[in-house]
Amino acid sequence: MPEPTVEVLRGTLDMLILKAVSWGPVHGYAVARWIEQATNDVLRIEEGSLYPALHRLETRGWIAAEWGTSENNRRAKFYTLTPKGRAQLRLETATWTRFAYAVFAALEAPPQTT
Amino acid sequence: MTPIPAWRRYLRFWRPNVVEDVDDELRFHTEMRVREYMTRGMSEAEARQAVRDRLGDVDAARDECIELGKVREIHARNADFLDGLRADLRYALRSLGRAPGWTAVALLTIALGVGATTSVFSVADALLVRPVPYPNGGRVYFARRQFMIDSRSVPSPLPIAAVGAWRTNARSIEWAVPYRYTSADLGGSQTAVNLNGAMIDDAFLGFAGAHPLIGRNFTREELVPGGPRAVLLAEPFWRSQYGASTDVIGKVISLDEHPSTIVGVVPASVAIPDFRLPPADVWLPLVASPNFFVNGVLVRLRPGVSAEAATAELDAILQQEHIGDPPGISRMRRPGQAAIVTQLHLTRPGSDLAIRQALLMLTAAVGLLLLVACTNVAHLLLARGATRQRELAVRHALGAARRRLLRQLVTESVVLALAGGALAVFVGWGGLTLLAAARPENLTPLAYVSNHRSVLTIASLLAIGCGLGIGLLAALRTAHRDLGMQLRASASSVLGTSRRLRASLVVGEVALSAILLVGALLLVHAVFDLQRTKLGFDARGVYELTFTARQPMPLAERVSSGATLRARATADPQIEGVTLAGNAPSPHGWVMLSVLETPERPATSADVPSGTAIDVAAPDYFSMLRMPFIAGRTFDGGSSPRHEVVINTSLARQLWTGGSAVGQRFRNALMKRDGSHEPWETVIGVVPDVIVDLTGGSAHPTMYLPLEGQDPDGPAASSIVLIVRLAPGTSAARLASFAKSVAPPGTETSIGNVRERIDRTLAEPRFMMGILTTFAALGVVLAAIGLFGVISYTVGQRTREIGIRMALGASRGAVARLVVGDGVRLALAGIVIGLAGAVAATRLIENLLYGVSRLDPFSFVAGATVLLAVAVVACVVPMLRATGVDPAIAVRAD
Repeated sequence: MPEPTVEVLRGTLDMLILKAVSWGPVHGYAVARWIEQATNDVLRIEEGSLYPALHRLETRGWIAAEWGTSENNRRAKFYTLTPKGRAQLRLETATWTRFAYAVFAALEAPPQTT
Repeated sequence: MTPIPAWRRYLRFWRPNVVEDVDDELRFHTEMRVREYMTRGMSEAEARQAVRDRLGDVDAARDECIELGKVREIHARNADFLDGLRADLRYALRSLGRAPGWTAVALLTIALGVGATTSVFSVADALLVRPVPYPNGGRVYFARRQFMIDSRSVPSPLPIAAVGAWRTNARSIEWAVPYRYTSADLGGSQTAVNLNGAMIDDAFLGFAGAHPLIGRNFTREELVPGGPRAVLLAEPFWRSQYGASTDVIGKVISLDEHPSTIVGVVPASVAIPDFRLPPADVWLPLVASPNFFVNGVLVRLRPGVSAEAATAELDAILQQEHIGDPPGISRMRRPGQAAIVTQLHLTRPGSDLAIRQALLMLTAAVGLLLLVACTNVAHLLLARGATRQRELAVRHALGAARRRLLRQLVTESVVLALAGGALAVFVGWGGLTLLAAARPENLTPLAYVSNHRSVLTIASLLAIGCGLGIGLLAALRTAHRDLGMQLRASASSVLGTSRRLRASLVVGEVALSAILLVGALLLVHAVFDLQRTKLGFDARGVYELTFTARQPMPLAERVSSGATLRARATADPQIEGVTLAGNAPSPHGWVMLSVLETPERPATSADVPSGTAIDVAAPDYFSMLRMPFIAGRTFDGGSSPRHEVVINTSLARQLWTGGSAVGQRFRNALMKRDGSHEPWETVIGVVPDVIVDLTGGSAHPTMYLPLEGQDPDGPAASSIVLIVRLAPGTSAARLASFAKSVAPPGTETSIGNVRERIDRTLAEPRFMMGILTTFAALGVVLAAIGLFGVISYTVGQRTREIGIRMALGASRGAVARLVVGDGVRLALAGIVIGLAGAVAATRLIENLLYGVSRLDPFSFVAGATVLLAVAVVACVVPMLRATGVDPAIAVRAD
């Protein structure tokens, strides 16, 4: 399977991160793991770009961060979704779904009748 | 996930380290991944390599994260600060709102203090500080010429030829521009509108660094006699009269019945900074006929040239070019003694004001008053009562840092000061409007100072300064005090030192207002006395109508026109009396430089020339003005020169002390221009002294010459002066229409109210009286607030003591005496210091007191009495509170 282009993934990654943190405080590694498992690692995101994305979202106020202790008792930074982020997630989900439907519909459509 | 231990939160208490946090986060990720891969069976080295591959460009990611982290850090800090500020503001407003009475007093104190200071500073700035608002204004001077007579200077106009000579020959000045005041009747409307005009030449606007708003400057052709008549409108007049329409250019208006073309509009910012002139409505070309005299000349010195050097050069040029005095003045010149007669002066605006010193004093006093007001508020703020101290102590104990508490106090005072400052803008604005309205005519610039921007700037700067000052004072008083102690100690013991300080402040306030009050009362006394000066004639309803022709009139024409005018006036039922003269009694009458001699006592060269007022009068002049003859008789109606004069008592006393003057002869020993002697004059009557300058003290020695025997070249040769007395109840407007209907063709008419003109000599002392009275009242109010504050505070502190006294049988009267006695003691101390200060400070207004001693007992006693009474009143409310104390509650309190 050929690799999807980075441009497609830019906005998608943000959306997936918002989704990943929507169930409660999670650290960056957990976000990476969740995306990997939930997408069967089809996207194979470059994990280096995951952290700038998290920080960007934090700067925008869509997610909030707090230092805490991980399962194995190590200091880790935990992210939670803010109300602003939740609204953004809803918006992006809707947009993405509409976009996806449109593409599907186009792909399934019969040949053009003239 | 395990819950985050509470202590971890405190990691945020130290400034978070962005770089370490990012590294921590990435390291955690790497470790977790490595562990995961190893559980899948990779060796550690393989796992690390896999993780690295998976991460990609980790350095770029790290940099980006650090960058973003720093941005967040700044945001967070700003948000923290704003949160704190918002909380402080909310808290400040709440705590101010909790004590509305207290807040009102503090606000009032600031508003009055800042407002008053604002208006006085604006005035002082306009009159004393600001340089002429022209390019290189610091080098702009007035060139004026003055006669010195009896150590009083009389302005002497400069001939326009002087300007030309200076422009060509003077090396000490860059340029010179002449100006002259004029007035003109605007025709074309129902009622005649009299406009103030300033005459300038084509160089003036350039000198002032200005350009016409619309239209153009005057041209050369418009400045020669017989050239086209042009006029420039002043911007305010253009706006009010023509609605700022640009169509006015080219319009022809009638000025004094001459059609004149509007060629441009001069911006409102352009003014001649001569305090004696009213602001111009129209600017007219200064048509340069050689014998034309101007009010003054503005010169700009070359850089580095002193005013003295320039004066010497300009004076030398005048001598060299034989540029003389106006006719009628040169006639009085003593041969070879020109230096005594005229003096050229280069002066700065404001330097010749009698109120200059007083204004400086006032500026200092008001600044001091503001300082005291601020200190007062600072102490009000801190010592608002024991509750406030406890509140601070409690908050300190609960963990509020001292810095935080100080910030709180400063915020509170700045809020207070800004609110007070906002009110002060209105106070200052109102004050300035009042000052500008009450200004004497010679303080023209006051008409320009009342612009919103300067008032706003000064008021807000002062308010912010006050806020910070008050906050700082409050902070200082708090900083050296152990707030923890406050909780245990009863507040009164801790505030003991502060009370002493507050008491001395109140004493200072009372002293300051005593000084202001005594000054104000002295001026009130002086003005009151001067106003009741007996003028020596009956000025009720007396007006002077002057008809001036452009050219001197032959004597015969003047006599016949005068007779016609007199007949018309006599026929008018609303005119009660009429006479002809050279001048109505006026502060600006003619004064002749003279050395008088009698045949018995000829003049010697040791005699110093002095001033003798001189006037010409018709035979019925004295009866019309109700000046009873003390001796002798008036002129008879003949027209042949008989050299008979009427003199006033001052002159009679000067020449013939003790003896009778009637029938005696005298003359001016100063020779005429042609070197011949004046003829002997025979005294035929003596009339009372007439006071024309209320501030001038005694009257000049005066001689009246018969109108019909006048010198055909005399100064009045081109005008006819009619003095009329209106019947009671007749309006001056009626007189204007009369003057219009009878004016001989080709003459300009002006109407002067004789009493008003004389009263106007009091303008400066009266103005200063108004200002000082206002500020004295302000000082008294502030002192009363201070007294009220300190006494209330004491009563609050001594509630328990008062309760005990009452429980032990002290009567309410005794308690009242105790409280009021406290206030009166403070007030008395302030009054004594203030009166001592007034003895010194009133020296600054001595030149405005005209005969009233600056140690006038009335003013000192009245000032002390008023302050004492105010002090007692200020103690009434706290006294009522003290006598209302219920011993049962008071003793148990605390």
